[in-house]
Amino acid sequence: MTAVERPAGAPAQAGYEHGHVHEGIVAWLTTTDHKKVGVLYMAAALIFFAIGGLMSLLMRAELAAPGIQLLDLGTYNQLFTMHGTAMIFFFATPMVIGLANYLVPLQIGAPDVAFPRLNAFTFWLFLFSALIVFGGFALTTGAAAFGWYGYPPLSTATYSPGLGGDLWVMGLFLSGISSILGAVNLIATMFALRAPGMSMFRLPLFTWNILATSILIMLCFPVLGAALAMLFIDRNLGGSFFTDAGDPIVYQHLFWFFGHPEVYIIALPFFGVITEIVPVFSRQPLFGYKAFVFATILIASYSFSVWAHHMFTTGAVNNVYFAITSFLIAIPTGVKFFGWTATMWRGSIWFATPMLFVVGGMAVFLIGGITGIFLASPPIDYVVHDTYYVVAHMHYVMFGTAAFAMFGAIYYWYPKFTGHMLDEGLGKLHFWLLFIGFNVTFFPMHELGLDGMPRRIGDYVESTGWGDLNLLATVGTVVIAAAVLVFAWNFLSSLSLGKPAGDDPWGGHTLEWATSSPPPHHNFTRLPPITSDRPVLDERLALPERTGGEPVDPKTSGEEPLPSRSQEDRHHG
Amino acid sequence: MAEELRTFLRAGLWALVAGGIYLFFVGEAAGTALFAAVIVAAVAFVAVSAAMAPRSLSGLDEGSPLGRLIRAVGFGEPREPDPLHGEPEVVPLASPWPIVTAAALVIAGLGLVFGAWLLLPGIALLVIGGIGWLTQLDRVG
Repeated sequence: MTAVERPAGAPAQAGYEHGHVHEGIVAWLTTTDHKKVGVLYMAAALIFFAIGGLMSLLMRAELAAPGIQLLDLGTYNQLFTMHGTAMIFFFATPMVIGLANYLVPLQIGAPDVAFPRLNAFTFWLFLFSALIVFGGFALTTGAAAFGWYGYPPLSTATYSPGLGGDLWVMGLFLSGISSILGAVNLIATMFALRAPGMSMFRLPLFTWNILATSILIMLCFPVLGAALAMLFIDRNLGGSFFTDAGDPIVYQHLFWFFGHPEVYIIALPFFGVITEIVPVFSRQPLFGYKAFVFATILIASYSFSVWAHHMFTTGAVNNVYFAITSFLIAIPTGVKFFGWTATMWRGSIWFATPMLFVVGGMAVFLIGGITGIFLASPPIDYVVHDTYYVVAHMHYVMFGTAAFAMFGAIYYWYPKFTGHMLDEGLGKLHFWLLFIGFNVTFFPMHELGLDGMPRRIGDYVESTGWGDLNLLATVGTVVIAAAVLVFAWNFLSSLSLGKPAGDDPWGGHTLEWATSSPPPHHNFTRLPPITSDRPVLDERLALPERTGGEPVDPKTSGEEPLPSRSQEDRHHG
Repeated sequence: MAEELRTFLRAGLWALVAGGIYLFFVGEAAGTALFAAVIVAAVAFVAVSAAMAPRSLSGLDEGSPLGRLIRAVGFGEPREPDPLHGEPEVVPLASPWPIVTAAALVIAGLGLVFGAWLLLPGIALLVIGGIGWLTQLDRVG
């Protein structure tokens, strides 16, 4: 198979483009280019990450010592509700969709997504939905204050009157529509727009994880939408789905049937990020491509069977069934860890910043995964349910993926997005501050939970003895904030001051590294032959045979050495 | 059967197995209904995809209102296998209608919270946005 090249002088995607490209702000408001939409998603997600982080700083400042310091309890309730909402719905999920928007068409060799205008629509709907939800802070009654699950009866109009709750319900409902349409678009793109040779089992693992994620979104967000619609009717139209003659437990079933797959909607794409970065920085082909694919499918499937492990203590679910299915999900996750480790094993590991973040993220996620196994055991869950142990667990899971792997992704693909490198020194400082700050913040919460400190409380008395560990956690949060400031400076300054990246600064394996940085409007002027899941590496391997070139030392040249023959054999074997 | 269809079929089969076990051992209605919904969704996707796969719009008059509508919403002829040659479908580089339609939907949603004074303008703007969106390609030729 030979490379596919556009004929000289031919316009990019003849017949594909219509109209003219606007300049400035209008260009961003009207764009249908998947890369610009992806950048918009990621920029908005990072802003909501900062807003959610500021909320956590305020909460940790309040909890640093017993007594009321700076927040009344009502405001504290609003903050923890909106912190969770912001991080789950308006940071982690859109960051996933933003990365997918930018990368999936590039990785499959497509000029754009299947429905470019629908793609732009989903972004604007997501952004406006988020503004609705946060608009609650502008009301005299305040924003929603019933926790990001929105459990009735607390979330009904009887116990949470005011428009803040209604805005929360409506905003999330509309945001869910955006997510569903985005997933449909991505699935259509992956099924219909793959380049010649790009069969399903040659899809990059990031794209495979996005496919599984998109299917999860299609199947579980409608359930959330139904739950929110019923909650809205209960609040405003005299319904009683979850009150009076209804049953609040049904809401919990519906919410967690969405909510647990949502964990994997966030985690799977970042597993994909790790799977992309580890081979490149280990100088090894990926170990066990198909095992990764089937582990991804299994995780996605299992995630629909574990929802009620969040409801053990209601006494209204079959604990044995959900404990067993929850234990099972550790198996395909373990397969992924094994694959990552085997890929690194005897590799020539290059600890550039992206690799630091994904290895740090793996370590953090592993701790979260192990405490997840503990929590899947009903006797243990009964003891620590709704305590800070659960807060620690979910942050180890979520931060390990949505933060550490996300930062790894940004350091890895920022050169592709912008044409500039991020500063490696600042990147390493960012990593170590974040890694230390994160563990100082959240590891003590395991102990606080075991000591019985409930989650979502804005105050505690001194005699509990929780003061020291809470102070330690607050100090850790300040260190995390410092890390994020370092990142922000690095990110913004590198836009103009960063070293030119070139097309392929890391020696990547997948198709996005075969085009310019940043890519042209419809992505490719030339495609390498696609005969495996790593076409760019294949082409690079073939190059020395044609030119007589020799492998180079990455430490002196910044380029990737060619894998040895044994490494090639290892992959094919 | 293509891998993409098998992926959905596997999801449905998993829900069938897990849902069957759940129904037998737990017998709880809400969860069973949710498993059933996953099975129905997966089967529906496979069935619709299989039904549509051998067809194209070639048998449909693209000048007819239905043909124009189908082309406008993006379900045109299957794309040429070569991404850099051939004549792929026409897609605008920029469009104001996505942001207009999204704003309209959100205004209509806010109307459900605040009242008809927002709901009705939202619906009107939604209709305008939808028409603008669907007819944009025809207007640019």
